[in-house]
Amino acid sequence: MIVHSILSHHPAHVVDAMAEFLQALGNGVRFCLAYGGEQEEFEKILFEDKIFLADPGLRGKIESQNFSCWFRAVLDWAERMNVAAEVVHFTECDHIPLRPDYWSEIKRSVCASGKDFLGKWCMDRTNTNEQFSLHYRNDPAFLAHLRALRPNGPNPIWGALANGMTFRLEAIRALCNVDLKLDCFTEILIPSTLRCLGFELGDFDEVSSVFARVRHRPEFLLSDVSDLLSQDAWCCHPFKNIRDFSSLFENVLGRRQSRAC
Amino acid sequence: MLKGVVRLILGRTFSDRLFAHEITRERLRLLSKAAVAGIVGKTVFCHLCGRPLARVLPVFRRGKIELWGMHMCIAKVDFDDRNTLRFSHVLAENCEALRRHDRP
Repeated sequence: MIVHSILSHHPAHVVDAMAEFLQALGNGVRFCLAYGGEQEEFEKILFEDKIFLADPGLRGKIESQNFSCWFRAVLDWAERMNVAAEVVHFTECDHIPLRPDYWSEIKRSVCASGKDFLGKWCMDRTNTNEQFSLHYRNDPAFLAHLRALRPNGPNPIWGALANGMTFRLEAIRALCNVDLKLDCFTEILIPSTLRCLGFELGDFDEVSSVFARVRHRPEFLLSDVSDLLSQDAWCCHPFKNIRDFSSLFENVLGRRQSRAC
Repeated sequence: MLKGVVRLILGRTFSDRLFAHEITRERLRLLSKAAVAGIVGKTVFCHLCGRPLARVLPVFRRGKIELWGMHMCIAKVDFDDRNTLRFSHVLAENCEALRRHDRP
């Protein structure tokens, strides 16, 4: 089974609309909402499989955001609920699946790659000019963290986009056994830690086009969605305008129904 | 209308939430270097797929070789021989040689 966790900070009614949309599109997928907004708003959410994340690592500047509490909370939730997860997939609230077979393609990509972890832009960043790897290659705390995991081996710096990180169960279990309370950006910390633990990492773009429409910017607009749907895109990111969510969900589900007919 | 023209040219508008906060002096400095490299620089190619990486201008400065314009792409570098550096794409998204799913 694939477990899909969505990290959101949106108002409760938006979160519930998104949960309803995802359940309608991804039949048979187990969803878990991780909420990083205000506690009062969290209480208003009707969707039952929800967890509240109070960790300050989620907040603050993007360069120091650490999502490890999210991964740990979802693993705890899966164990508490006896969910037989094989693959655990994490996305942010501005990541919108557009096809009902999105999740089966995620699972197929993990199996086809033979890797323990897949991510967008997941690569060895050593000897590259990628900005975060340049920053963290001189960060004493981060380097000490890697050396503690693998004292004698090479400790390459890997990176991957936080949105879309996908783990096999063994990989996320091993990751959650490590102390990750470090002032380090998730996109570097998680892949580098996994690599030092001996897991195999891969890039979604090597094995599938499922993340072809995932980018940093510009953000997708409602007017882009009809093109994406006609091109059979699997998902899109970032889609930030929550006022357009209801129209977006109607478009996606409407297309699914017309195809079924 | 003006916003539409800017979006057409840049692929974004300056009021985009993801872009507005990034207009800094550092970014403008990098962009001006890339503009100079775009005019008088040369194109470097990925040694894996052969496609262009960026237009760069090598500048000798303070005992280092700066490659103006290189920040426009994410590239990996290593020595090809004792005198030559070679560059390659890092991301499979940009490099046919790194992708497996769209090969016939």
